[in-house]
Amino acid sequence: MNKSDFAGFKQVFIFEFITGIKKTGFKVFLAILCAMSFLTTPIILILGNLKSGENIENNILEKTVIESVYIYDETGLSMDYDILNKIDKYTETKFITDNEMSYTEAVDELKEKSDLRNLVIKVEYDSNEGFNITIARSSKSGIKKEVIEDFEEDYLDFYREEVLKNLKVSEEDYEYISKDIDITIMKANEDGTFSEDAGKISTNDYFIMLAGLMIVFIFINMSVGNIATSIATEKSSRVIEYLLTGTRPLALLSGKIVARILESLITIFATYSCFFMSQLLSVFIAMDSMATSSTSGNMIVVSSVWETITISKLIVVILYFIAGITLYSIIGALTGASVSKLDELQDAYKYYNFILVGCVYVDMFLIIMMLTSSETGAFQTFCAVFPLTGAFLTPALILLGKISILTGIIALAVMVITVAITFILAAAVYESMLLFQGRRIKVKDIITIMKKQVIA
Amino acid sequence: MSFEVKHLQKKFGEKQVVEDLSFELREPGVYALLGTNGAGKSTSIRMMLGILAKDHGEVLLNGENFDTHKVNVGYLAEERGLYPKYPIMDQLLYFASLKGISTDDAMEKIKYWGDRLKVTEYLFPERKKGKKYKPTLADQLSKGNQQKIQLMAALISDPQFLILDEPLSGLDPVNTELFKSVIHEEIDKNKYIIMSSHQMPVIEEFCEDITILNRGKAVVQGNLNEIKKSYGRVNLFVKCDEDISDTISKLDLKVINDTPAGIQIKVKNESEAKTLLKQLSDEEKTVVRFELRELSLHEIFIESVGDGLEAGVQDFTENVVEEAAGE
Repeated sequence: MNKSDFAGFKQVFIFEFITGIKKTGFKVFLAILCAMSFLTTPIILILGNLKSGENIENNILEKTVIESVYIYDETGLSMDYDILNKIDKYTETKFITDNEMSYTEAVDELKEKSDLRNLVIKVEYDSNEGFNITIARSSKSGIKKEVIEDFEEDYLDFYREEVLKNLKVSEEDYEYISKDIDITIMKANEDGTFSEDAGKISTNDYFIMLAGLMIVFIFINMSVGNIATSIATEKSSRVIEYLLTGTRPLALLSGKIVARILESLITIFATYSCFFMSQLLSVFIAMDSMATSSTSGNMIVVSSVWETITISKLIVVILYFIAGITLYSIIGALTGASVSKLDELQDAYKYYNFILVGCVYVDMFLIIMMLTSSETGAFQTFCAVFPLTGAFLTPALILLGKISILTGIIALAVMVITVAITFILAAAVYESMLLFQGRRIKVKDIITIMKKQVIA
Repeated sequence: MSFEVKHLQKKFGEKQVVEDLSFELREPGVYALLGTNGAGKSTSIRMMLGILAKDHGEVLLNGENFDTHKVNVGYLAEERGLYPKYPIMDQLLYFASLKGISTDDAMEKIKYWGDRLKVTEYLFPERKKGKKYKPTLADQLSKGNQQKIQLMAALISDPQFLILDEPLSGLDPVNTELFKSVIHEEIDKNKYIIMSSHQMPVIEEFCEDITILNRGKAVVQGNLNEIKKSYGRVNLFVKCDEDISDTISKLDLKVINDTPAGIQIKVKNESEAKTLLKQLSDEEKTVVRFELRELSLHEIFIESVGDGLEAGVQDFTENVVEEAAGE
C-alpha cells in the first residue's frame, strides 16, 4: 500500500459526499433528527408545566371529595388535626378522633354503606417495625385513586411533622432534617482523575445510554448501508470498470468511507446545534414556571448529562465514534463488493446483520445489567474495549463517566489498531472482489483470498 | 509512440483465458481484437488497462509500463456502465474529474460532445417556469443514448489512447453511422485505438492490423491486407443462365453457397477458377457473372475460429479464489 494507491481519493470523496447529501433519505433523516433534538426538551417542559399547572389548580381550587376521616391512633401520640383542616382542600373535611364505633365496626360500616365518601385510618406503632398507617375506603365511594394518593402524601407529611413535634423538634430543625441526602461514590483512577464508581446506574443514565446506543447504531447502520449499496450499484451497473481506469480500488474505498464519516459528523453537529438552541428556548419556557417542581426537575436532568463532559472526553469520544463507523464501513464495503447484482445484497447482509445485532444485544444486556447490578466491572470493560461492541456503547460510557478516560483511551487505541488491520486485510481482497462478476463471494472465499494475498 | 503487448497470459481457475497474446502498435491507427464470445478479448483489454491483474506478460508504452493513471486513456467498456439513479451531467463531471479535467474544461467538452452526439437535450434539460429543475437520470435514457453518454465519458479527456470494446453493439443504423463518424474523426486526429468488435465490415472499414483470438489464443495476426493476400483469391462467384451444377461436380469444386444471385465456390487457386471458366465456355453456357476475389474478413474469421464456435460461450465467471491465488 503506497500513496499512488489513493490516486483519485479526492474526486471520489467529493462525488460521494455531494451525491450523499443530495439524497432524499439523508435530508429526511437529518430533518427528523434535528426536529427531535429541537422539540423534545421544550415539549417535555411544556407538558410538565401543563401538568404542574393542573396539579396546582387541583390543589388550590378544588376541595377534596373526602367528607369524613375516622382516625384510630393507637400510638398514644398527641396529634393536632386542626393543622390538616387549615389546608385549603381539607377545610370542609371532618377529622374525627373520638369515635363511638370501634375500628372494625367503622370498616364494616364502609362495606355496608359503600357510597360514603369517608376514610378510616388506623395508626399503630411497633418498636421493631415502626409506624404502620392503614387507610380504608369503600370501593364504590367515588373517591378517585389520585385523591387518595394525594391525601396519603399530605397525611404522611402531617404525621411525620406531628411525631417530631411530640419529640420537641422545632420547625426549623424539622425543615433541616427533612432535606434530601444524595450519596455519590467516587473512585480514584490510576491516571489521577476521579470518576463515579461503577455501581448501579440511575434510571436517567440508563435511558441516556440506551438512547446513545440507538443513535450510534442508526449512524453506523446508515453509513454501512450507503457504502454497501453504492459499491454493489457500481458493480452491478459495471461503472466500476470505468472508474478503475481513473482511480484505484483503495481510493474508492477510502473516499466512500470518509464521505460517510463527514455526513455523520455534519448530522451530529446539526443535531447538537438544534439541541443547544432547544436548551436556550427551554430556559425561556422554564423562566415562567421555574417554581414548579417538575419543570426544574427536567432542567436538572438535562443539565446533569453535560456536567460530566470534558474536552478530553469529547475528543476521545469523537475519535472513537469515527473509528467505529470506519470499522463497520469496511465490513459494509466488503459486503457490497461480495455481490455482483444489487438484488443479492440483502442475502449478503445476513452476516453483517448477525454481527451488528449480536453486538448491539450484548451492549443492551450490559446496560440492563448496569441498571440492576453493580457487579459488571469485567464485562463492562470487555464491551468497552472490544471494538465491535465498543463502537456502539463506548462513546456513551465515556461521556457519562462510567469508564475512566484512561480506559477510553485504551479502547480507542484498540479500535484504531483493529481498523488499521481490517483496512489492510480488506485492501488485499478488495480489488479482486470488485472486479469479480458471478456468484456471491462467501466469507470463506474472502478469508482464503486474504490468506493467499497476505502470505504472498 | 509505440504500444506493445508482450506475452499476456491469464488463467481463471484451470481455464486459460488468454494465452501468450502479443501485438504492437507503432503508428496511430486502429488495431482490432476479434474473436467469438468468450475468446478473451475483454479480459485482454482489462489486463491492458490494469483493472485486471495479469498472470504473465507486459503492457508497454514507449518501453515503459503502461499505467492508465499516468497516461490519458479513454475506455468504452463492453458492459456499459452508468449510475442508474444519478444525473448524467454529475456522472460526466465525476468521470472527467477522475481524469484530471477541471469542471470548466469538462463543461466545454460536454457541450461539444452533447451537440456532436445529439444528446444536448438530456444533458441540459429545459428549465420550465414554475417547475423544479429536474436533471436527467441515466435510467431515463434509452440504451443507445446511454451508450452515447458512455462514449462521451471515454472521449471527454481527449485521450491520445482509446480502447473501444464493442463500440457499435446494440446501436440502430443511424447511431451506428454517428459512432462510426466519431471514430473516423478520432483516427484522423492520429489517435491510437484498440477496438474489439463482432461486426467484421466495421473492422474492415477501420483497421489495418488485427488479431483473431480463439479460446484465448491468437490464431490469426497481422496486417489485414497481407492476411487476405496470404489466403489468395479463392472466393469465386459464378452466375449463369443455365444450370451448372453438373459442371461443378465434374470438376470436384466446393460450393459454399448457392443462391438465386449466384453460386459461391471456394477454389484452391486461380488456375482452378480458370479451368471452370474454360469448361463453361466449352459447354456454351451463358456466363452472367464470374468474379474471383479475396476472402472477406468474415470468411477468414469463420475459417479461423470455426471449430471454436461449437464450444460456445465459455464461462469466465470462475472461482475468484483461484484467480486471486494465481496472482
